[in-house]
Amino acid sequence: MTLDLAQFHDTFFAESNEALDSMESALLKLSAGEVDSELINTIFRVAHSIKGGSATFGFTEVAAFTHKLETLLDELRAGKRRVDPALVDTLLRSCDLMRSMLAATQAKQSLDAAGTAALSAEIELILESPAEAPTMRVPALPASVPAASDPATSSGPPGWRIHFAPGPKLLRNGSDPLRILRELARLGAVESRVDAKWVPPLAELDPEECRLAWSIELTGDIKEAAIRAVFEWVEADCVKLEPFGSAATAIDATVMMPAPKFLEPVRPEPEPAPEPKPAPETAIASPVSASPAATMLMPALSAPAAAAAAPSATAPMAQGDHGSIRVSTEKIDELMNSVGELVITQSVLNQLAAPLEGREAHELRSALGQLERHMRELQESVMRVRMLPISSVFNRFPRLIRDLGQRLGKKLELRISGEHTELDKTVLEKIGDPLVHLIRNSIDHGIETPEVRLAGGKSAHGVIQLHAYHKGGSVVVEVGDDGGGLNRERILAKARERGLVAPEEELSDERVNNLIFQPGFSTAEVVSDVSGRGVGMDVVKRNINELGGYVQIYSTPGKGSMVRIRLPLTLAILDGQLARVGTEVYVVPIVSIVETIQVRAEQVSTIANRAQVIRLRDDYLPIVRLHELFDIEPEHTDLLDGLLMIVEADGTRVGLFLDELMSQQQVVIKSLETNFRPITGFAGATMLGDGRVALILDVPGVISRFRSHETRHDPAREAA
Amino acid sequence: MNDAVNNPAAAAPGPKGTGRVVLGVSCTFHEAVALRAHLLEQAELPGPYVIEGGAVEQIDTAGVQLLLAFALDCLERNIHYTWQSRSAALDDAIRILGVGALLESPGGMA
Amino acid sequence: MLSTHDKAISAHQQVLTFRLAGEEYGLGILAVQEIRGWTPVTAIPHAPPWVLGVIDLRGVVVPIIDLRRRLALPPAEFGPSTVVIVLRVSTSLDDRTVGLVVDAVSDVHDIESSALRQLPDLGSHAASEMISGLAHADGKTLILLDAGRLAHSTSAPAAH
Repeated sequence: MTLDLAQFHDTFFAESNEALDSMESALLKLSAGEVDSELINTIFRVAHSIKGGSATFGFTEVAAFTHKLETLLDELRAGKRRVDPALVDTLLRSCDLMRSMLAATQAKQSLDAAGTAALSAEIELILESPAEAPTMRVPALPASVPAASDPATSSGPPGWRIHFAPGPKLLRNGSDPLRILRELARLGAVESRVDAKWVPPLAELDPEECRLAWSIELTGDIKEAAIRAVFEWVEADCVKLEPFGSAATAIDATVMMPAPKFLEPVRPEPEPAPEPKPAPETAIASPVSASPAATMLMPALSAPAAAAAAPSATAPMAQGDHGSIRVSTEKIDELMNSVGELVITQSVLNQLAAPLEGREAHELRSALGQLERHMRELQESVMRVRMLPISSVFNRFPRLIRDLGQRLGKKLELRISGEHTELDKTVLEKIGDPLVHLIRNSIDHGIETPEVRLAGGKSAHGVIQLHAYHKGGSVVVEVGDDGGGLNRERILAKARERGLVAPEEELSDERVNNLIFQPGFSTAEVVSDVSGRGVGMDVVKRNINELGGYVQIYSTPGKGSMVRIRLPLTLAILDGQLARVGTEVYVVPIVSIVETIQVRAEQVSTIANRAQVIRLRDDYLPIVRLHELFDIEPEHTDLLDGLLMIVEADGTRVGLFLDELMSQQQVVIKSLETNFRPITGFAGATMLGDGRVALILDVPGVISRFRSHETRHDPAREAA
Repeated sequence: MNDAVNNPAAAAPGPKGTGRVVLGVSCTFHEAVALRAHLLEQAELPGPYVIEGGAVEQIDTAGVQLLLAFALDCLERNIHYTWQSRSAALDDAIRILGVGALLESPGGMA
Repeated sequence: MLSTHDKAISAHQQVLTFRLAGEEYGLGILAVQEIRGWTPVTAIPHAPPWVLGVIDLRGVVVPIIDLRRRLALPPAEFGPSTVVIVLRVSTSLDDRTVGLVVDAVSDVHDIESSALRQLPDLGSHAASEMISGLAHADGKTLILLDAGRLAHSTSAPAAH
């Protein structure tokens, strides 16, 4: 390694020694009989961060020893093991050993191998002895807290997140999750949480069916095949595996939000006060966080939502803070911006390193690669801080639906799923109103009256379905109903009346459905059989587009309709494809790109001597010459020389003609508005690695600009 | 809920006093039907309940799931229960299955 | 509305002077954040003609205004002395940063309030709304510009 990491060594040694001091004083308090979770957590934290640091710097002996120690401390922390004087003694000697190991490492002297081996063996022996239930309650505090407070530990040990939802038949097939989890525990440290929300009341429970699911965190350097082997007798789709390499943290922005993403817990998270009497529905319906760590210790059920709202009670630990802090969103935004700058600097470094040659250059690049991964993790961690579950928005809908149903004389049932899906706080704040509009529309115009429904062979209850989930880098929110669906004929008639569609023009269902997003297309007149003013869907669409999201509508006559909203996870960063037109470089959001093709002459037709279209799989797409639209000098003007990037927005596809594709990269979105103003066709700007500014295309904006551009240049119109 | 467990009338004080769940040596899939019946029977009695789990030697997910359903019912009905004892095997199963937090009555351990 | 900057000039104030098409112009020094050399800009399609483009100024997107064009002066080739004056104007509403391309920066002058004169009514002229007044210093006439208006003139939507 040609990079000099040594300059960071001293900091590490200094911090580690301080940390060991605090570990020692915590141990002494423990031996004095003072037992509290914070002490044990302090001790754990020290071991954890020293392990992380020494692994980073390649002090393998220190890392190996602290790893063992950490395992032991983890059991203490989890309350699986009793604190007794002998154990404290071992820990104190471990503390001394770490100190001397670090000192020797710093002085570049050889380590006391024999002493290390002896103490390691001692710890292993303890680890092998059966853990017993502790006599005192040691509330578990998560590893994520030390990770959050100590940057040195941001990269935690590797492991797997396993989501295991066996399905009801499992027990009858002779499999037992308990056995499976035990086997997993042989592979590495297991933290499991049961998800009991599908457990019905005892009287309704078939005792031979499995209604439980688990989220398991398996820590250790474990091969996927080994895990798969454990689940050999379980249907593959019941098990989801996801590797992780760092301990993620979740500090909430404004709300004390204990639980991270549903079924993807990252270690036992900081729990606010457990509460004694959760509302029954909450208790059953919410994902319950439990872990081995918490098993004996959490005196009550702690469902995130209930716990967040409920006052503290029974437990002594209830008063303390549990690793959550309130942070103003401004501070988070500042952090976000700094990270954004780091990302830019990172790409500058990459560019600088790219042309270098030789062995050192290779090492530099590999170190940069490492830096990039860490940056990405940092970025994700910071972004995660801003994330809140969408339940905060969904929660207002039961009331809305009840009220609207009563007013309109409709029987309604609301089904919500995926309410734990997390979204950027800013997105979340802005998504509420559009969703209210959509739900109102569904109830107002989608769901039929009970009489009509019964006559149509449906149940009297109309169903409104809200569903949120992650897909790719986006969050998808669906608002569906089982009502009458969109009325194609009426929409078409209206569109023809408005001149939006030529009288003879035949449109696909998709195109027809999307017409309702046109401005001024009052849904009340078009879609609904019920009187009442509909909310303009164009407003909904505009709102979503402003968030960088897209809306699609699906409808089946008589069966219902569904609006699918695709939102970015965050507003600050997007995955972009860099594309060159002439000397200008633009960023196209990857989410909008369908494909990029080389044009063949026979695919292109010129209409009325001006507009060009390309035939692509039985569809004709308009060709947008970016250089014309943006009035710049291109390298190529012949379609056959450049590239055509097929982009899609709001169900409309067009081909963007450009000169060259460049790299794909994550870009930090900078507002043009701050010092300038918004410009149709651009979502903002970003800084490229070479210090230049590149504009980020806003595909819907480009399409609408293209349309008005074409209209203005239409000779027929100019003549008229 | 229309089941007996949640029928307030069933929870009226009965001659046998408060409910007492006694877990046998084996609480597995094979005993699940019987265990469920026992739990339901006790749930008809008034609370707070006492669960005696010291004798358990074999338990599997089916057994734990029944206890869990019982505990959730108690939570829903706001009835406390206490563990008179828990065998090592029972504790182990509870820990491994990550259900500990759910099997701890607000009343705490006895 | 933009009186903060008018005031800045109307008191005993320091003014950064620069040359533009043979005339001497001035801007209240309090609005000047920095002076930098010309760097290539990223053109913004459909921006007003006087907006040359944007640059990355330490992570912030800053528009660069060709002051000659803004004041309807004849265009000039950018030479080695061409500089960009970066203005930062804070109002209660926002905080704007823009760069102005000028021919060359001259000096910093102290302007006595007694030396300030209002711009006589010249009829409607593109430049006049950007000018806050005239002053006489060192035997020269200085045309004082309104930094606030310059900084905010980019925010109005362009006419098509």
